[in-house]
Amino acid sequence: MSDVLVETRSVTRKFGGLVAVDQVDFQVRRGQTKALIGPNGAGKTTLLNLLSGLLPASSGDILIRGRSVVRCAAHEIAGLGLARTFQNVQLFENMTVKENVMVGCHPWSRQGIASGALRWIGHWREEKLIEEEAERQLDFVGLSDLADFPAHSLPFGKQRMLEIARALASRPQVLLLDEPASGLSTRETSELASLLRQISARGITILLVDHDMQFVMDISDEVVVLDQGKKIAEGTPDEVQSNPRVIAAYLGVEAK
Amino acid sequence: MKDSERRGTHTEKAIPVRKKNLQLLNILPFAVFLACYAFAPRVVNDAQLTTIIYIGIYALLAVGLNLLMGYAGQVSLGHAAFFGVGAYTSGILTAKPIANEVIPGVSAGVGVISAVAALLLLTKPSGWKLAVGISLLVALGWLHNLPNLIPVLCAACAVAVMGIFGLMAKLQWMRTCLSGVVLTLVANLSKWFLKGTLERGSASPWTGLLVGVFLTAVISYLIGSQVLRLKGHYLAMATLAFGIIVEIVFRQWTSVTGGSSDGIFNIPSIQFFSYIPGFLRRLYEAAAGGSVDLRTQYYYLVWAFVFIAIVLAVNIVRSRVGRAFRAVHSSEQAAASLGVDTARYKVQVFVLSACMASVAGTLHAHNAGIGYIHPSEFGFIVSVELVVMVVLGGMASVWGSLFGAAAIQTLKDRLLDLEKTNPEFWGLKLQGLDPIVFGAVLIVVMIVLPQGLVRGFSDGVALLWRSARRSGRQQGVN
Ligand SMILES: Nc1ncnc2c1ncn2[C@@H]1O[C@H](COP(=O)(O)OP(=O)(O)O)[C@@H](O)[C@H]1O
Ligand SMILES: [Mg+2]
Repeated sequence: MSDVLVETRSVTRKFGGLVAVDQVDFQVRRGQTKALIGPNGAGKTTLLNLLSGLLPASSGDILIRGRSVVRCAAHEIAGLGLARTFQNVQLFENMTVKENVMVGCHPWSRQGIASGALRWIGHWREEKLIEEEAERQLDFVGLSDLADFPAHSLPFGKQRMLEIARALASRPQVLLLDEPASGLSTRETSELASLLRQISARGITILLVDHDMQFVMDISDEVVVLDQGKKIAEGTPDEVQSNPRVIAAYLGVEAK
Repeated sequence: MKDSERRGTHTEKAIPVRKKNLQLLNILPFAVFLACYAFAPRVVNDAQLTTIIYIGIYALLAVGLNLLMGYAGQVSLGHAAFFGVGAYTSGILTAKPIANEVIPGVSAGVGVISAVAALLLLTKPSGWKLAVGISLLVALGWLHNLPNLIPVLCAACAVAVMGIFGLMAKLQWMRTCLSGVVLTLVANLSKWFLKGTLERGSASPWTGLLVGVFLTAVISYLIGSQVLRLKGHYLAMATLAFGIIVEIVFRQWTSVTGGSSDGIFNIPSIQFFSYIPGFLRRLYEAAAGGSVDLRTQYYYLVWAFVFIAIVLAVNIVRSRVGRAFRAVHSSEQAAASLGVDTARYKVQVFVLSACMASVAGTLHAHNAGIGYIHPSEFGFIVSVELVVMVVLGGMASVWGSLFGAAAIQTLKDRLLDLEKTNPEFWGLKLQGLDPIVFGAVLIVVMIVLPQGLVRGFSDGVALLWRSARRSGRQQGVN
C-alpha cells in the first residue's frame, strides 16, 4: 500500500443536478505513468481539479501519500508534492518565461515579504537556488534562450512546455497533465512524449489526460477510462483498447 | 488549433524584458532620484516646494496602491480611508492634550496586544489554552501598571509565569516565555515613549505615526480578510463602501474628529533635524545650500519616506513574495496549484499598502505650515484620484506611480488656478472640475497608453531605437 501515491475513494462531484464525477475509485502508484481518458465532458478535468484541490469534492475521499486531502486548500496539496498543468494553458502572462518557472519554486522556498523587502542574506541565498532551478527546468524543456521574453509572446506549443517546466520546478512527486498534447503539431507531440519519458525516468509519477490515443497508448503504463463521470474500465493500454465498453463509449465516438 | 494561431505571436517581435548585463539600469533611477532629492530645494521656489511635498505624499500612496492593484491585481476604491486613518490618528494624538494618568494603562495595553500577537504567531494554541494565555497576559500587563513594582521583578514574573503556562498547557514553553518577554519589552518601550509626550503635553508625531500604522494594520487586516474573497466589481464595490463609511465616521464623530465643520487644526509639524546626527544635518545643509527652514526640512522628510517606499516596493516586486503577488494577479488557480497561498498573500499586500497609506496620512497631517486636516481630504474622490495616478503612471510600475502622482497633482494645481479666475463656458460656471477632468484622463489613458506613462514611453523609445538600428543594418548590407 505504501507505494500508492494518489488514491480516490468513491469521490463524487456534482454541479447542481449534473454529476460530473460519479463515485470514482482509482489509484496511482509511485513511478507509474497513468492515463485518464474518456470522451468530451466525461469529467476528466473535473477529476484533476478535485485531486489538486481547486474544486471541493461533494463526497468521497482523496488521499495523497496516504493523507486525506479533501479538506485541504490547493496550495497545501501543492506542498505535498503534487503539481499540475491546465487544459487551457494558464501562464502568468505578465511575467517573463523565467519568472514563471521561478514562481513554480514556491513550495520548497521559504523567504517571506520582510526578507524580500530588506534583502536579507536568506533572500539572496534562496534566490540563487530558485534561479538555478528555473534555469535547469527551462534547459530541460528547451526554453533557455527565451528566458527573458514575456510569457505571452511564446508560440502555443512552447507555452505548453513552459507550463510543464513551471510545474517541474515545484519538485513534485506527482505531475498531473491536462491534455498536454492538444493543439500541438505531430512533431511537437512526439517531442512531448520523449520529454514525458524523461520526466518519468527521473522518478516522477505522471497522471495525464489526453485525447490523442496513439500518444496515450505510447507512453502510459496504465489507463483509466471515464464516461459520464463513471469509471468504466482500468488496465494496461492493450486491455483497455480491446474492452467492448470502452470501444462503445469512447473509441466508437472517436473512430466514426 | 485556432487558439494556437491566435497565441502564436512571433517571438522575434517581442522585447526581452531585462537582460542580466543591464543591472546598471536598475540602479540608475535611484541615483537620479537621490540627486534630485538632494538638490531640488536649490532650484524651486516656496510655492513649488509645497507642491512637491504634496506630490511626495501622493506618490507614497500611489506606490502602495500600485503594489495592491498593479502587481497583485486587487482593486481598491477605498484607499483614501487608510490615508485618513493615519492622518486622523496622528492628528488627534498630537493636537490634543494627553492626560498623565492614561500612560501606564496605554503602555500596558499595547504590551498585552503585542504579547497576544506574539503568542498567536509563535504557538498554535486552541480554545481554552488561548483563553488562559490571554488572561495571563492581561494580568501580567496589569502588573506592569503598578507604579511601585520594580521593572526587573515584573519582567521576571512575566517570563516565569508564561514559561510555566507553556509547560503545563503542553505548548512549547520557550515560545510562550518569549511572549512574556515581548510583553515586558513593549510595555516598557511604550511607557518610555509616552513619558516624552508628557513633557510636550501631547504625543510626538512619531508616536502618532506608529499608532496610526498599527491601527491601520489591524483595520485593514480585518477588512481585507473578509473583502478580498470577492473578485473584480464586487471587490471594487466592497472597498468603495468601506471608504465611504470611514469618511462618514470622520464627518460625524464630531467629538473626536472635529467633524466636517472644524476638522483638526494646530497639528504640530515634524522637525526631524533635531533627531538626526550632526553630520547628516550638515550634509542636508550643504545640499540645500544654506540653513534649512521648516518647509524644506519637511520636504526632505517626506521624500525620504518616498525613497524608502520605492526601495521596499522594488525589492518586494523582485522577490519570491512579489512574484507570488503577480502570479495571483494573472491566474489565481495556477498560483494556488503551485503552492501560493493566494488568500494569505492578498491580505498581506492589502495590509502593506494600507500601512503605506497610513504613513502618507501622518505626513499629510503634520505638513509644515498647514497642520490641518478635514474629512473631504479622505473621501471617495481622493480614492478615485489615487486609482487614476496608478493607472496613469502604469499598472505594475513602481516608478510610474511617482510620475502619475506628479502629473495628477500638477493638474490639480492648474485646475485650482483656473477656478480662481471664475471661468464661464456659455453661461455655465466651471467649478469643481476635478472629477470630470480625472474621468477624462482615465479614459484617454486607457485608450491611448494602456501601459501607462512610463512603460508606454520607454516601449516607444525601444521600438524606435530598434527600428532605427534595423534600417541602419539593412543599409550596411546593401
Ligand atoms: N464549473 C462548472 N460548472 C458547471 N458544470 C461544469 C463545471 N465544470 C465542468 N462542468 C461540467 O462537468 C462535466 C465534465 O466536464 P469536464 O471535467 O470539463 O470534462 P472533460 O475534461 O472530461 O472534457 C461537463 O458536462 C461540464 O459541462
Ligand atoms: Mg477537459
